[in-house]
Amino acid sequence: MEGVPFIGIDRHRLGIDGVGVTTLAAFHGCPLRCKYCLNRRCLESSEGLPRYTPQQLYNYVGVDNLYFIATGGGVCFGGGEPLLRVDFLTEFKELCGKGWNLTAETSLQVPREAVEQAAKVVGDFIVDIKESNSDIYRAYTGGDAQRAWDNLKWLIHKMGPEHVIVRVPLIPDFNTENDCDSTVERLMKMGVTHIDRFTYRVK
Amino acid sequence: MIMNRGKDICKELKAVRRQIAEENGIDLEIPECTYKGPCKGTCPRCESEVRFLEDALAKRIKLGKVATVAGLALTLGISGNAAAQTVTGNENRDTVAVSQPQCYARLEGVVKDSITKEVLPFVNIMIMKDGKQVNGGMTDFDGLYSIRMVPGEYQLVVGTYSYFRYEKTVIVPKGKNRVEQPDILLRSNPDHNMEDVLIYGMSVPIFDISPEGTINTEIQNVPLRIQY
Repeated sequence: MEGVPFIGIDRHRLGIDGVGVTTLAAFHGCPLRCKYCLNRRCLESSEGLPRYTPQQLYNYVGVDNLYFIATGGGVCFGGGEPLLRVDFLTEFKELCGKGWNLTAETSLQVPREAVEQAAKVVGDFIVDIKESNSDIYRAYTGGDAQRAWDNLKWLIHKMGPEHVIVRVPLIPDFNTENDCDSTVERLMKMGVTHIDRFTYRVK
Repeated sequence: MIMNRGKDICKELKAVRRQIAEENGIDLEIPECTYKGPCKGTCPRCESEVRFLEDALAKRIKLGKVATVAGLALTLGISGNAAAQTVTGNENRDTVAVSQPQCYARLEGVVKDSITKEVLPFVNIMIMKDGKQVNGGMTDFDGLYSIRMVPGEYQLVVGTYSYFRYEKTVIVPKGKNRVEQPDILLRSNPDHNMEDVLIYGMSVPIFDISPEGTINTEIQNVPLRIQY
């Protein structure tokens, strides 16, 4: 496999991206165009970004092998959209084995096949579902909410609710507390038990 | 802010190392860190302790003993685990800072040895303004640094043990996402000889540097990985 571009790699993230000590590996490239995107670098040209093959990334992050194993941590793939790079995730899992837990921070704005393939190698998912109202979702992200919600439903059923954290943000100028209440209610009806509700702070 | 977060990370990782050492009967005394500058949660000394532990665990395995690591520190005080967050009424947490990206640029570059041209990892990068530190970071294993900054004029201060301190003025202009700096070449300081460095608390020195060797060549000889 050719090296793929990453916008950044951040070590020693404690409890931010799942259990234990994790290293965040953020891919370049995202299907959404969120108005308050935190990692806008992933939407720009990939020129000049570091590129890693699964083997190279494995060698690079392996310096924290001991911490990963001791704490049940591992690598969190974010971005960007990591499920656009599901072949990379599969090859990486073959290298790291069961000792490292893989987490994917995803919008689920990908074809179902990608979610199915990811579910075979990723231990925990952090799903940035954003909003249940399709109009608000489209206005904020430019994407189709239905696809994300359909994929989430499948994922909950496949992985079990204990392995899926769903993020519900209050997005200034786009949704309201009532909208967030509706999203949370819908998630709970789907059987989601880990919901991370918070507020975007716009500077 | 950066410094406090780094210190917190350092404290947690230290606890993990201590637990691994205790569980496996490894003599690893971790001295109190007295470094007052910016901390990214790890430093050459912390990294060397990890390598020391890996080496000691590998020796245990070689001797037919059990090396216990998996899941040892699962119950450590690693806080803020998103997995533990559940909805409670209308709780709001201001945890995500959303900024206007055009207001920031990344100051990026590489730090190398001026003679050998080897990249230098774990070099402290300090961003000063009006005599006060306003930002900072550390080079990674490839000698790279990348620091997110608001536009302005700053003093870039680069330093690490056994090298002379380097300073220059940098300007981060508005409307740019990246500001690449030419390679920073640090001059070796002969008054700070690496042969004199001892890591306290270890039963044996981790690196035995020969006069013709370098710290990098010694690090390359240290086992990097153990599979459990």
